[in-house]
Amino acid sequence: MSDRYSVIIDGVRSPMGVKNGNMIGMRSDDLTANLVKALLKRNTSINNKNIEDIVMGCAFPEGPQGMLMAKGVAILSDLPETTTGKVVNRFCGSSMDALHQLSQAINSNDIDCGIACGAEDMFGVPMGGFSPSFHPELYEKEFYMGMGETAENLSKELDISREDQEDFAVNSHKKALEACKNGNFDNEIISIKFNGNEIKKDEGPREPNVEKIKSLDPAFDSDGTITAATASPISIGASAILVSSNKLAEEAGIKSEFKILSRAIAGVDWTKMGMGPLPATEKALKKANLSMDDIDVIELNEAFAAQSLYVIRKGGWDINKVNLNGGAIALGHPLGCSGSRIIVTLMNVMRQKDARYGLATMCIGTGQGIATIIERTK
Amino acid sequence: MLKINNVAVLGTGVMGSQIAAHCANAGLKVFAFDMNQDISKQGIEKATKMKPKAFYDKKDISLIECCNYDDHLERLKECDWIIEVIAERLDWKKDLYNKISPFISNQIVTSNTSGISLAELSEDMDENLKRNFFITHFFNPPRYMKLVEFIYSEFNDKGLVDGMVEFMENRLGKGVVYAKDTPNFIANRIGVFGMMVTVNESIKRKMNIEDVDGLTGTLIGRPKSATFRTADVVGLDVMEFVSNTAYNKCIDDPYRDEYRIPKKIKKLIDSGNLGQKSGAGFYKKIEKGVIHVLDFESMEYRPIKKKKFKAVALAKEQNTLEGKLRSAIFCDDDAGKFLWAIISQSLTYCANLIGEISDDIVNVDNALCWGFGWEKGPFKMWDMIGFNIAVQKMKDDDLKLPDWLLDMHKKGINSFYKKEKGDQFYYDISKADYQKINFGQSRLMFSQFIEKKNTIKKDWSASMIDLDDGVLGVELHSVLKPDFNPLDGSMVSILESAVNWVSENNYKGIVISGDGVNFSAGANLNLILNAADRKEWDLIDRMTKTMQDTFQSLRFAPFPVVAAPFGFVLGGGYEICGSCDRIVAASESYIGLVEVGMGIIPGAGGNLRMLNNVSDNVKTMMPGSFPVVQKVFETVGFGRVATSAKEARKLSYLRKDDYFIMNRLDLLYEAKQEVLKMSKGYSVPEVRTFKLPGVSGRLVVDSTIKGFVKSKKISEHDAVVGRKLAYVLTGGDKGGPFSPVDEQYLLDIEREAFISLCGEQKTIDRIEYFLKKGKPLRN
Repeated sequence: MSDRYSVIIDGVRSPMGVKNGNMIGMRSDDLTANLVKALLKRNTSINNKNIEDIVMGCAFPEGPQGMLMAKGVAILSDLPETTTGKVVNRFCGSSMDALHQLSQAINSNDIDCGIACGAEDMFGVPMGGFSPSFHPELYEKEFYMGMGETAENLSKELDISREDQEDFAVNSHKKALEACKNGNFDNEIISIKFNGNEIKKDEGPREPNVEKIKSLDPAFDSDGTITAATASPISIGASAILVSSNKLAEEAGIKSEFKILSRAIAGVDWTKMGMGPLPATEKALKKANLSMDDIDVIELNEAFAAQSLYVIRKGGWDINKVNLNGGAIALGHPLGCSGSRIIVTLMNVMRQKDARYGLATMCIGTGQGIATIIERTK
Repeated sequence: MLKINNVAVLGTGVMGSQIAAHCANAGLKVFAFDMNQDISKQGIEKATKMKPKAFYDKKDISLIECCNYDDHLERLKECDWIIEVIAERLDWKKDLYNKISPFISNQIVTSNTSGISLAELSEDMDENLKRNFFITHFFNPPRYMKLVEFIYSEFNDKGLVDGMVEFMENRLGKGVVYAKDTPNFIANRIGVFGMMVTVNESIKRKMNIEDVDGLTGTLIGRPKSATFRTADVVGLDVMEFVSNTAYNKCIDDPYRDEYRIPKKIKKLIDSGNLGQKSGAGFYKKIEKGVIHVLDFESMEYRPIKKKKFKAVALAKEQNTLEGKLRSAIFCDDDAGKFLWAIISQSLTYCANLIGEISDDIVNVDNALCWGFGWEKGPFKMWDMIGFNIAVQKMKDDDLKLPDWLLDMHKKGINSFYKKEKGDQFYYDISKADYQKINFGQSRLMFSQFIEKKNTIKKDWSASMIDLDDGVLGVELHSVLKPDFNPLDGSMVSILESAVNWVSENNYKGIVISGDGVNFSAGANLNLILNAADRKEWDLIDRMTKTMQDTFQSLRFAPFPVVAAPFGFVLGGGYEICGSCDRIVAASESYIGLVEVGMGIIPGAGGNLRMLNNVSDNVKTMMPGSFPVVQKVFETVGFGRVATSAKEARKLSYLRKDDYFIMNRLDLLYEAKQEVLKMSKGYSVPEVRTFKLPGVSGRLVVDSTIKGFVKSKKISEHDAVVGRKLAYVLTGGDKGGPFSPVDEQYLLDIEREAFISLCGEQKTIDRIEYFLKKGKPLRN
């Protein structure tokens, strides 16, 4: 690796909001600007002028999330007009890809410092967008297959039982509640004020009602195994990460803790899109010259319990390293937000577990996977 | 006119909360009071969940502010009308009046009591309150029951009472009946008597409960729930309470003993069988779909087995209530004798009470129709049976008749009502002569114009009637099923003639409506079924094409056409309305394109209308915008029926300039006025073209349909129907974001889709099942 690389100075996220919650109605740009301001406020050694670019992930950048939201966020965050902005779309992997693009620009010496972020308001902009339109040929090839159905395909392939999925989902909630109770999210969540309420924590996690979970009808296939309880809920949220070159960090006197070791993307069968993390992780490990055993903790985005279990089982991953503070099934999966959200959570988990290597990875609708490996240097 | 904008409702129990809801329906600001705000909030919250719905639109709850008696009585000063609806305890009511008295200056204060007299309620009141205080007695559920009984006294200013009548009729859509300050007033006095006579006679004559319900429901113009089923719904304890009240208070009533609860029923109540709310009463639900009935002999529940009666068979051959009544009650079998016994006793009871509970027969008839859902009040019914023959038979039975009635009989007067030159008259006992019934100028009915010989053309199921002032009326009156008015060829041909006639005679426009309970519950399914069974696709094509063409001619006629719908406005019934220039609806209109339930899609322009309406609502610059199609698909594809005219606007069945009125009785008048207004400077609408999403949007719907089938939210056949609907709504083969299609193309592909669905066996199964069982088949 060359001596110029990207370091993560800090990262924050909003609480994740769910249906009937207090965040409904909040705009994605406001939500993100709130984070950017807080991020810069607590990292005083980085000057506003240092922020050259805002790279922002969003899966459905239209309506209130349209009009090149990233530049709008820069302005709302009181950044100077010299700060630029771009919106990245790689569906669920959007804001992880935003981090990748930013770090690529830094590594190649195009810029020195920027913010990678992501946001999605799935209530304000529906999944599929406001005016979906399908290509007949792609439709024929099942390119538009619903996400639930792709997860059913995975559960069928490995015979992942409904009970196992439910246990996984219940655990996700329990871990998230525990993490919240222990203050594990305190460093990453920036509270927000909206409509006279202050929202300080995630709205999704709750004490699981096992009886109710068992009583649910399958959501996508009447003969299938996936229910509303074992899928990530529709949600709203944002996350933001401050990234710079190691050089700039050094000059600013920052002892940067996190180094981006490798980035990877991979394509898979879109009717089983949930397997994407497997080849993406393999690539990322190879680039970082590591093996799965070297990885101490993992953030695997929980689109569906079946999909997560598929990846863990097929990859032979140690489930005890995965999502220690809970995952998207409990917290929610605001599409464009989740990529940088799991990086932020990963950093905090690594501190809490005193870990060295961390992996964040996720599946992407249309059949892709994305992965990032970061190293914590003490 | 009395200015009433703000209303206070004191008490948020079952009645209070619903009255508050109905005031909100009318757009009034409501202060809902109770002991504390939590109670009032809970009360109002409960009203949002009631079935049938108390609110036109749940959002109107925002018009209701919850208050308590300790902190908010000051708000009463902002109110124009205060209605007390607390528990029926004289001492509590008096306490409350004392409490609010200091805040009353000119506001009208009324009580919704059903049993306490005005004299008692107002005995300790200060003079000011007494002047402004009287009884307005609503019936449950107040949104749906038209009746409000007014009981006022000489202390009240007549102008104030008249103002309230106008308010009740125009703003709340109610029907007011003047009752005297006697126990249970009019409707409950007679209604409960009728019920008790029926119960007593059933026991005496050893009639079975299910048979009595079969005889005393729609057969004789009473609600379907008839006698015992109604008691189960109301609650046997409530029935006992009301009967006891009547027994205790009507001390001079010679028929007082009828109000005694029979021992068998007392036993039932004491054992906790109170009807629906306790799971068992006269009927008992054993499991889903299995209901048993109480046997009076053994006092055990047993399966229902209805006897066949000659009286019923004869009545069922008749189309009109008059025919049914006559053939049933004069039949010499057990059923006929039973019916004669209960009806004759009820009628004589009413006759003997005229003068005591009401000055005239009209108020009594209205009270029973509006408060108990009788199709005809007792005196109208008496006329139907035949005045003379009934009187003779009553005399033979030694039933006591009042002098005024015997006098009438002696003078050779042989009906309580008569019609002359479009006016209606009733027999006024105080004048011993007929008096004209004054309906007021806004109460128009087709029947009045028919009386005046204004009929221009009469066909089986529709007529052209001159409504004067240059407005032509089209009255829908199905010959086969006048209650549901299914759309048939006769109606379509009259609509066609009407358009031509108005042009030829230089009239100003057309109103389409009816005098019955429902505008039209949809197409005549028998016609479709028969044609489909015989595979006469050309016939179906011709029928739908004629309908489409006729409805288009309504839309593009060089004069305004106004539809005035009410009650059920389903399928083809709505397709008529949707093609008109304006809809003036009764607030109680239940509008929906429900074809999918029958395995078909709208075939007479319904899809075109909805695309048209929604495109106007969802303004977008995007060519081929998907949301328009999505919204229409969600409404038509799921056969959504609006539960009020207000909700119909939300679902885009009504358009921006369409409106609704609260009082059904004013509907024809309002619609006629609308034609007169619109005819000044009327311009014909332009033929529209639509930029629809085409195949790319169709596939989006298709993918959703696939998902629904997979998760078994819909059946395979639903999917077949849904795909056809999507094909039409997305613009068929020609439509696309950059290839607009015109109205005729959309009508053509709609017709094509309709016919092809008629050829599906599962569609035929659905229609057959529905015609046989009266409920939809999910296949």
